[in-house]
Amino acid sequence: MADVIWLVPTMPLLGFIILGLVGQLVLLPRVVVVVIGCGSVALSFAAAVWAALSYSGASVTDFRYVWTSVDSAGKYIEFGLLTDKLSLTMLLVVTGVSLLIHIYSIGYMAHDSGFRRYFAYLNLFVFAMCLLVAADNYLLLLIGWANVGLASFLLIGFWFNRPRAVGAARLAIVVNVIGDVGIMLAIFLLIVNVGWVNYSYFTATDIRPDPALLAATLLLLLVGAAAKSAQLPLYIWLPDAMEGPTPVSALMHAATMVTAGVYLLVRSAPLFTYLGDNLAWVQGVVGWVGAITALFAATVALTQRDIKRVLAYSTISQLGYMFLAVGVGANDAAIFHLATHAFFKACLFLSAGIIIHALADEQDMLKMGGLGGKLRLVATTFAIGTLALAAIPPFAGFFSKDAILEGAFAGNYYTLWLVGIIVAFLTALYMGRAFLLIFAGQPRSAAAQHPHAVPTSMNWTTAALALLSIVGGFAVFVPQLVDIFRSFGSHEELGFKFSLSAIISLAAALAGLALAYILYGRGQTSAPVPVWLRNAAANGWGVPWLYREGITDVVQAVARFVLVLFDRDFLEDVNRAIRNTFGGGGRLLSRGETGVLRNYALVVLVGVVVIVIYALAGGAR
Amino acid sequence: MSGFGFNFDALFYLTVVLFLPLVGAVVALVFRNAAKTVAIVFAGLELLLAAGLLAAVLNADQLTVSGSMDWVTITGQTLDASGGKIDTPVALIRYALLADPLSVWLVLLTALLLLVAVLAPAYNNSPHRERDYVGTAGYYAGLLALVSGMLGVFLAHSVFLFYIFWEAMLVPAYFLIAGSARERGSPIAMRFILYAIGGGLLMLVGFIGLGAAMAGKNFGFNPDAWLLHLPGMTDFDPQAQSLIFLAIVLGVAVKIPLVPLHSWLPDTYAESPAPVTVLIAGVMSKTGVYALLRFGVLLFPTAAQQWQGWLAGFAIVGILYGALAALDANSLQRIAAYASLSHMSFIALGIVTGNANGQTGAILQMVNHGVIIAALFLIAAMLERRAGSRNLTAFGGWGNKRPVLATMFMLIALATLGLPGLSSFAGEFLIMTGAWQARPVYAILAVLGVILAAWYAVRMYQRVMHGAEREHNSPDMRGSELALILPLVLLFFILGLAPNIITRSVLDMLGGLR
Repeated sequence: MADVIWLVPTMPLLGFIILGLVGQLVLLPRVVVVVIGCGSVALSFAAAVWAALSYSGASVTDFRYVWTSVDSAGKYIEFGLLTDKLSLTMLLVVTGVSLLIHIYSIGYMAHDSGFRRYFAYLNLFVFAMCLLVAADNYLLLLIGWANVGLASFLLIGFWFNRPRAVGAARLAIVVNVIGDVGIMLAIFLLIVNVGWVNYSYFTATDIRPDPALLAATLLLLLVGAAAKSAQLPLYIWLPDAMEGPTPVSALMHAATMVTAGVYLLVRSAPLFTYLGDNLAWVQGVVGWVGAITALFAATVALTQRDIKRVLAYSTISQLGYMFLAVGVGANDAAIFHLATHAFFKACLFLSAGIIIHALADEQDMLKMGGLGGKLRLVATTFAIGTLALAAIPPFAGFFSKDAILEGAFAGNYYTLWLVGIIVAFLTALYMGRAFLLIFAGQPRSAAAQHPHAVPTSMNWTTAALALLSIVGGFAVFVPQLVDIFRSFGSHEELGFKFSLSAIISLAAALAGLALAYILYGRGQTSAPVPVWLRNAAANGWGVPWLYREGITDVVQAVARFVLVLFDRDFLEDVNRAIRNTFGGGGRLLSRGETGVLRNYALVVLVGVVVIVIYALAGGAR
Repeated sequence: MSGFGFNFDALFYLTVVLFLPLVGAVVALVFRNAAKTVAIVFAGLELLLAAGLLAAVLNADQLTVSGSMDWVTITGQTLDASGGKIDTPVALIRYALLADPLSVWLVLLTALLLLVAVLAPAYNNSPHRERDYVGTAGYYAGLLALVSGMLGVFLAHSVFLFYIFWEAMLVPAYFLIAGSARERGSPIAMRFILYAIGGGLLMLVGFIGLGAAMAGKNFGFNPDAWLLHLPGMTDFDPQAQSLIFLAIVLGVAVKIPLVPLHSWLPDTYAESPAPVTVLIAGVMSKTGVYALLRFGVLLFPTAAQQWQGWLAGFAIVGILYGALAALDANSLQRIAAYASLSHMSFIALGIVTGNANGQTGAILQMVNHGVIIAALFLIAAMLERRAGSRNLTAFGGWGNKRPVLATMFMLIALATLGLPGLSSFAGEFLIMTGAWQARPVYAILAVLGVILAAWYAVRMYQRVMHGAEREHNSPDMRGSELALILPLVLLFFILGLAPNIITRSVLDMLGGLR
């Protein structure tokens, strides 16, 4: 009965329709919103568990239907839902973590006037995410992909009366559409190259795609993955996305949605096998994008004051690890780290949510301090999350990060491995700093002296994720789970052994924690680092500046030019000139001579456009 | 002589579909006090007839419903078996109508948008209400007559008939724009008509050239020469073909419009009342792309291939130009106008790719764009009525107290930006697949328009609904307004989730034509 998989996306869709549409016409009581919002995700999770338990081991596609005809009469693009080990693993992680965070949200959003709207959007997200991972082809994946982007836009801009949230939401959707466009172009290439967009095509025997086109396809898929998973240079939207409610940051911008890029690359892994030796560098590009992003984001995370932004940069950095894993062919480690990261990063964000809630919306770590004694439970869960993220055994992050570094080491990618070790050190350092700033020393503000109590539902869901952050890594000791992960592809069998790589990475992590203690352990709030260096890192090494000056402002200036100077002024002049020609002949000439300088410039521009078109036309022949 | 088949039933049905709105226009002028009711009744009947026509086309052999009869006949000479000349009556002009998957979806769209336009409130936002003609019997008669003219363009099966309707639809359009525009009605209408007539003249030159070229090939006055898709019909001098093609294409480019022939568009779309814009932006722009497909690219495949780079280049410039202008525009209607310019250029790009994917996507996108742009201009009018202004600065933070309005506006903005899952994604997907197959650089450049679309559509939505809340007492969407918008919004979903409804028949048709 693996075909219960259709229930997984449709339950939250139903929830979205009821809450989003019916709820606008009828006033739904709060308890109904809770039952529908959380119940639909619970059913979805149950269906995913059922599908997993009754899974036979073969890859099955159900619920096929023809979306559109294409190319020639009788050829179709067909949609279907795919059940295999990868889609089931992702569905379990997505719906499981979603369920916990939905329950947590009941308390977190209790006093918000947009309670119903919040759960409607959250259900929309779960639906789109499940569609994304259950799709059996790239086009249906793109529909899910774009709709998680929509849900992200809606939830980042949830408090849409705040100007910062509005700007962050717009940035998020535009960058995400850049990623969508990458996938769209990849799909065109697939249609031209192999005439098909279904994944199953690439696991079939006896196909001979053109390797060069396939390389371009994979690089375009990488653009899509980098936009969704916030890799350089398309990471720019994720730190701002923290304007959304904290449970949303936990669910979408840490645990699940941003991992879609990793999923896409792992799903596309069979394509890499057709590349041949000449084009093997394409996979290396994936690894290097991940490694550079991991390093970049870790340095920025060291300098942030806002607790959520530390975690956001940390997420970018950890996603970089997963890209690195795909780049060295350790797909099993990538998905394993994806799962453990979902647990401990959600745990950290939910803990942060409790702290923010308790401190009446204070997010600045420099105004916290001394909370260890007052918020014991959250200090524990945050500590567990920190140790898991810093990759200290026996917490989950240790095993999954070790698997990635082991994969890099075993595959002879020593430079990537070294970057990974450095990032492991930095990770421990910035998480140690965050933990100590929040919990050690003395309270540095009035709010931190008297934190409020938080609802129980927030506490136990966070505790559940903390528990998963402890035990999640033990999956390497369960042979059945290791077999599942292995099916995603790897060099090295997933499993733990005391290798040189493991010892060095553990040493790096411990060194990071130790340095954090030396620098911040006694209530200090700043480390002895040159101011210019700290500012450079805090400002993202100038990348946001490049975006603003190099892209946003330029596009807006061109838009202004097109609309005001060309469309309004120049074409008006042309129209007037035509009228004058028919009216009083000679005036056209005199007008041209005395014309404003600007119009000459515009004539030149028109010339340039015509030349560009001519070049296109010339190449066509 | 074959080809003179007289199929009364098909021709009669097509004629009723074609002229029913015109009859409605006359009836509306007679019963002046009930003009709106008359218009609604006739529009509803027209929609039923159009649906019937669709069913007939989809069930017909060759997916075609057509009929013709002689209109003007002269006496010509033909050769008999022994080589002697005998006098025979020969049709000079024939009244020939045809509906196939390329046209029938547009007929259905036209009927649907007519019903929307006559049901819509007059949206009388003019500062000069006292001399306004919106909502009068003449106004409704104008809408109905305009629709007959546009249906004629879609249904005509001879060049002559096509040209008559192409010019005839300008008459009601002129009076509608001049009479009802919000401001500066007559200069705007004058500019519109001058551009349209200029384009029409170029097209006429092309058709005369076509006739002359065919006469040179000893087709004589054979009336079938005026009909379309005859095998070997355009089998004459490639250079002449190329010039004729260019004249026709320049003529239709004014109506699509392609940049830089578009300067009639922003004022015409933005200053006309919403129901008039629904028909002009929603349907009349489609007559341009339809003619580009049927009388340009399908009739002259070789010449179309020869000019493909130029046409695709202008289409791509139009996509980016419209999107950039929409990004900077400051009123809802102007954003919608430039967005429409960008999207129409997308459709033109699909047509000039010359392949089945691009052209099927273009037909699908014509329907999608008609539905979306109608919804966009209607909701813009609803918002303007509430704010008392169309300027973006008059809005802000409206989402809080008007959830239904915000939801509908959101969905329309999402359809405008081509969210995967909604209708325009399906059309753009096929168009860009075709563009890639023609030349990858077309798709790579056109796709930038998709990114800009996300930017301007989200900007438009956020400037109205997001941001600091402005104190304003205007109400949420009323039931009557929702009833107008909701069917269009449902079509976003239906055509987005099952585009095969349209694409299958179009692909089968185009496959047969090749």
